[in-house]
Amino acid sequence: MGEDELHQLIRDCVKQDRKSQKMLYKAFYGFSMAICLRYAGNRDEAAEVMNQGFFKVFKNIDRYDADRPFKAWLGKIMMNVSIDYYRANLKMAYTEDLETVEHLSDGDYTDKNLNYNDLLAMVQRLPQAYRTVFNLFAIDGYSHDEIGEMLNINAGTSKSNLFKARQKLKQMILDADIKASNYNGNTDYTSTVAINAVGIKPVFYNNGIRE
Amino acid sequence: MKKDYDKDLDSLFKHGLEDPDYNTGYLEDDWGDLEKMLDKPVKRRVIAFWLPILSSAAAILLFLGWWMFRPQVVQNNQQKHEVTTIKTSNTTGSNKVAVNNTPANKVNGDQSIISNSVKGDGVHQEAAVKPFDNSKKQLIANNRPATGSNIPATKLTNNNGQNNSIEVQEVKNSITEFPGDARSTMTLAAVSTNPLIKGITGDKQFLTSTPVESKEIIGKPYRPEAIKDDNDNGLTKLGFVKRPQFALTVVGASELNGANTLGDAKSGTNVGLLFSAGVYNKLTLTTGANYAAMPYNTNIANYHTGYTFKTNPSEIEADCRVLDIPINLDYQLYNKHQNKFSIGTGLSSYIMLHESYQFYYADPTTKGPVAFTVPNEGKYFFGIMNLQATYTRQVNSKFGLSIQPYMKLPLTTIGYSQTRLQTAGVAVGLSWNINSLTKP
Repeated sequence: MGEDELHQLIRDCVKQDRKSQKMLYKAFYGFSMAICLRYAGNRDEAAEVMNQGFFKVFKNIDRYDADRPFKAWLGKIMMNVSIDYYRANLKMAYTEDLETVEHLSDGDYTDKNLNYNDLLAMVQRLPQAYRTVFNLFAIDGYSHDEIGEMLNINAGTSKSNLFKARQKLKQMILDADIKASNYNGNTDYTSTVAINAVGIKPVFYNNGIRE
Repeated sequence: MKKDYDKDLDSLFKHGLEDPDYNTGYLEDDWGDLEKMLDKPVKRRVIAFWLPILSSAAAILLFLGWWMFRPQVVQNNQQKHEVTTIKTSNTTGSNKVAVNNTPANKVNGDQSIISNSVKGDGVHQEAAVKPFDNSKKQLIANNRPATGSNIPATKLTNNNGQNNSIEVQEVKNSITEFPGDARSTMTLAAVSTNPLIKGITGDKQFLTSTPVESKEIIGKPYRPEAIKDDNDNGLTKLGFVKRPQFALTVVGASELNGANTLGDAKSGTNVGLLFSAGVYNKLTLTTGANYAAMPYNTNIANYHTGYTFKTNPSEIEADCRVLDIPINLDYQLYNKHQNKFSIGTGLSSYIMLHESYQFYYADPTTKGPVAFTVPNEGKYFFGIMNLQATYTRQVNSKFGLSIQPYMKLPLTTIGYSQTRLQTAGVAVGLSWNINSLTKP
């Protein structure tokens, strides 16, 4: 979608034109869903949060500054509604004590061959409090002070949650490695060749000459 | 080195999850859900739209209640009547009834005679009553059964220290108009003046429907506060209910809450248990506890905090859960035919059970706190003034249903944000009259 086409679509959305709203929704569905999936525990939750975000977008689209990139504006809104969702469900969120997190030895993570779905599944398996801090710090690039302000926690809690999130992710990567190596390294099998005895012809190398 | 590993880990997820192509996951159902949200009317505007209507309805209800159930206004209450003495004498051998209603007895046309049925020998019993200084002026006449030669001679004179004079006791209207509880009042019968008095012939003519022992009145100074109750061994002070009335009421309310004004109000709910006690004839003291969910909208001007926002939120949503402990005094304006109407006022104390705030910014991309939960709950004693009007329909002797429009006005600021929180609502209640289970 070109810039002009996008701005025209936005202008139509300002008029609350439902058709244009749907077109914009479809155009940025993947981008928005990807952000919400990182912060949410599953796809249903992510879809709910994303719709909350689009609801805000359509209600406030007249405030959008056309000089700024729309994607960045939309992404911020998706992140904010994800944090709102986190705040609203904080009491229900599963939290884990620091003591239960083992300190793992570090390894080289750059050569890990993990695809998008693998990484997303790992992040979604994190407890919500850890996942939110990890997303904000590691992926969205906020500092601990900023995260503390956004989540109404102190910077120390943010650091602690990040540490725990990393430890859990490392454990998950380690587990994934072990699983993969079990699959790929299981080579001590015995090759068997099926021989059809019926088709074997007796060969006499002495040309049938009996001794 | 540890830092590098952490950065590697972060980088792995950042690059792996950042801006993926997720277009294949589009679901039409998701758009359907969003469309429903977009089609849903904004709740707050609906409330704001209904607010004037609700307020008008409450005002009309209050006015109609006052108009229909207003007490009868006493007219001519400034008009004083001259002292009228009713003398009862034992006139032996003369069977006659002498009624001397002199012109000095400036009795209005609608006035009536209050007659006391006198039992006993009636030997020189005198009663003196000054006509009441209100529109329902009544004369007290002795109506004693005539036996033999004991024929009552009733003389109504403008007595001012004559030989037949007895003590004059002014009877105020207030003691003659006690609705409801007859046990606490002097039973007085109203009849017309002259014709009936003239019609008293022969041995007896009762002008009363409910006789009162004359010995309680006649022959001693009339003290309204010391009239003996027929059903009570002790003395009952007039004006006080004989037995305190106790009631328990379960209430539920829907209300609107707003900071400083109800213009941008949000709806909340309120449930509670109240205890009422009749402390005076028409006054009822009520207290209890209500659990109230009080969400409201405010703005940064009404949100007082030590925290400095980098960008001020354009809107703040507060969610307060409060234990409301009211002490109210209600005055009963009307009580007839199982219908009661009262108005009241009082003070409420708020004990904050939960207090949290959500911050919304004009620019949705603004980086700032999105929510704050107040860690310590505050207590605000007598910080709210209550105003209420209550209509009660008595279903039976034990239970009654009530509807109560009310307002809660701030006397002090409430909550962490020091908000002047206003509330208006309508409560519905089920009352249980505890006294109905006890014998009088």
